[in-house]
Amino acid sequence: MNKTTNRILWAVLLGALVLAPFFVGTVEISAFQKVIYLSVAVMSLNVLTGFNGQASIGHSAFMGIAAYFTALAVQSHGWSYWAALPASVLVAALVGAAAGVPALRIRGMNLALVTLGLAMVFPQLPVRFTEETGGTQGMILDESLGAPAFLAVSDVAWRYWVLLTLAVLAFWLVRNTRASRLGRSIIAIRDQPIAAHTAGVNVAATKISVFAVSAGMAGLAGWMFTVTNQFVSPSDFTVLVSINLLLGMAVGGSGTLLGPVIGAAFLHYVPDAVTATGIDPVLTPVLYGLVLILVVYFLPGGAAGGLAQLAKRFSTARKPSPPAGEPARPVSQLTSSTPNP
Amino acid sequence: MPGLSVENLELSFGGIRALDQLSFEVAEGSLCALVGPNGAGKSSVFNCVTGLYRPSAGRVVFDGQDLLRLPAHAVAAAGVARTFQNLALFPRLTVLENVLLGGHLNQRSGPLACALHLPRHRRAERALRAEAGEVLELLGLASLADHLAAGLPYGTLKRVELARALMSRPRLLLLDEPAAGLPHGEVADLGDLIARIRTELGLSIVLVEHHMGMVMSISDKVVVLNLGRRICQGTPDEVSRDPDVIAAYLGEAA
Ligand SMILES: Nc1ncnc2c1ncn2[C@@H]1O[C@H](COP(=O)(O)OP(=O)(O)O)[C@@H](O)[C@H]1O
Ligand SMILES: [Mg+2]
Repeated sequence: MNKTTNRILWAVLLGALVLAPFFVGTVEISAFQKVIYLSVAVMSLNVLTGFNGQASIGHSAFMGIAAYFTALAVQSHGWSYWAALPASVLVAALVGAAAGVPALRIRGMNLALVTLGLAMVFPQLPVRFTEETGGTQGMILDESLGAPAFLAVSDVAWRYWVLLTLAVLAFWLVRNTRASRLGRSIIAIRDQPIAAHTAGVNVAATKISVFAVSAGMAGLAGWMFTVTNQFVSPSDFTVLVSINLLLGMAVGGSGTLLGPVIGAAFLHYVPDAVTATGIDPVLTPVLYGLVLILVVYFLPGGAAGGLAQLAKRFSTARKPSPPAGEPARPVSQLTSSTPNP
Repeated sequence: MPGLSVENLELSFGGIRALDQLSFEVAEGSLCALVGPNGAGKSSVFNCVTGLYRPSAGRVVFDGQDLLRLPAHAVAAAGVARTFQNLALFPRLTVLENVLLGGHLNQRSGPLACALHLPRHRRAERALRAEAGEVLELLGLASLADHLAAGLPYGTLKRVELARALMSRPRLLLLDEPAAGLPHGEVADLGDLIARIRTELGLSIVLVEHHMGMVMSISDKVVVLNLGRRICQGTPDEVSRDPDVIAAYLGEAA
């Protein structure tokens, strides 16, 4: 797929999403909101794991921290949702930075275990502070994020546009970063940390920063969660949510931009589809497990990776591209220009 | 003295003394070869100089600065670049991106400039890409720029690593067996290229290489190691006449 087609596709998709409230009902729009915050959450994990190679099963906790922060700030302390937005993202990012410190010394399985600890502890906190948070019952917010009076749009549509705008902004920032020296160094650390060091990349600082940014982005998803549902409860942020995010990343394709969107749509719509077919929803995890195995086996690049492969095959069928492993040219054929001024 | 000065390096792994009171100097702008049998400690020297191994004693002075006091990522900023004996490329970056990463320190856009795609960042990125294009051209890699590093032939990858190292505009270049895996006919050409890089870019080079023909024809100085110790040093002529060297190394290679 060349650059222009790619751009046109993204523009069409975005246009359709922006105009959606004029064509579909409130129920669908609420569903889209869920897909949006799930996309942001899967992307946050993708930034950490897909791009930087650091594992986390703790992202449900980062989401939950920001979601609860927002809920408490708005419901109990009279903040506006807008004031809670930067604050909740910042709090999640700070906790993420702290979680990133042990990640410097441990990695792989052990890092996953540390973040698992975080994910297991978090749902206990609201229970511990039941008076403030409603405990296991959860907490309903009276206030909603309403459309400004001068705009004659429904609150639902307004919330949807707010979420869409923030998500597009977040994805745009990820895309820019990926294409820059910073993005290259983030991937370099994943692929070959020793060579990254040698090229002058400050590996430790970068890893902690990526952890913080990823957690902050999960926090954004948490803020979006509270805006969407006007309700938070400990069961919304269990380890299972983290595992679902991992599943979404694997299904959609890690290390890509489109992948998290596909993964989020999968996470939201597949359980509903399962229920609709009359299969006992208890079996959803079985289905998830099956899909995961199939994806890892047949589509290691996830759905986005599979699509890219398809597009490539499509375009190479029309114009032959040079063979992959072009034989090395002898050094004697070098030009004589100098690389450096 | 400017240039590189390795002084009394000591490095052990468990019971193995990888480097034993090792000292040698590389004059500024010269090409010094480091030779010796496998396990002599050549790669360990590079790993100490670039901060990947921490020797228990000794100093590595480059341009008056003790490199051993720096964290690994700061050694590049001091003007040192290297290639690895067993390749250390980024398989899921393209050849161009691998080379661009070598220029990580030449383009200083901060995180915000990168994330917001600010104009000054875009200009810096364009300049860096133009420079990378020239390096790729120099090494005959231009046609592979957008190819992922994964899956390319070994000899090509060796050149991608050399390109990445050059991209950092180093003043000291450490090459660990650059000719390994090259077809025999290309070894002399690579030797010429290295000699040309040295003169045209005016940098100091330390070359670890087993192809003695290439070593002897392009080096100003040869340092011979065995079991972590320097057993001989001198011009290629002097070294090839040294009886210890002939016994320990050249004898078996010839
Ligand atoms: N990371 C390491 N762990 C343990 N032993 C090592 C390590 N690196 C090098 N050595 C040992 O140090 C000695 C020198 O190795 P090396 O520097 O790789 O030699 P050369 O590059 O000259 O072949 C060898 O005995 C090797 O086994
Ligand atoms: Mg070696």
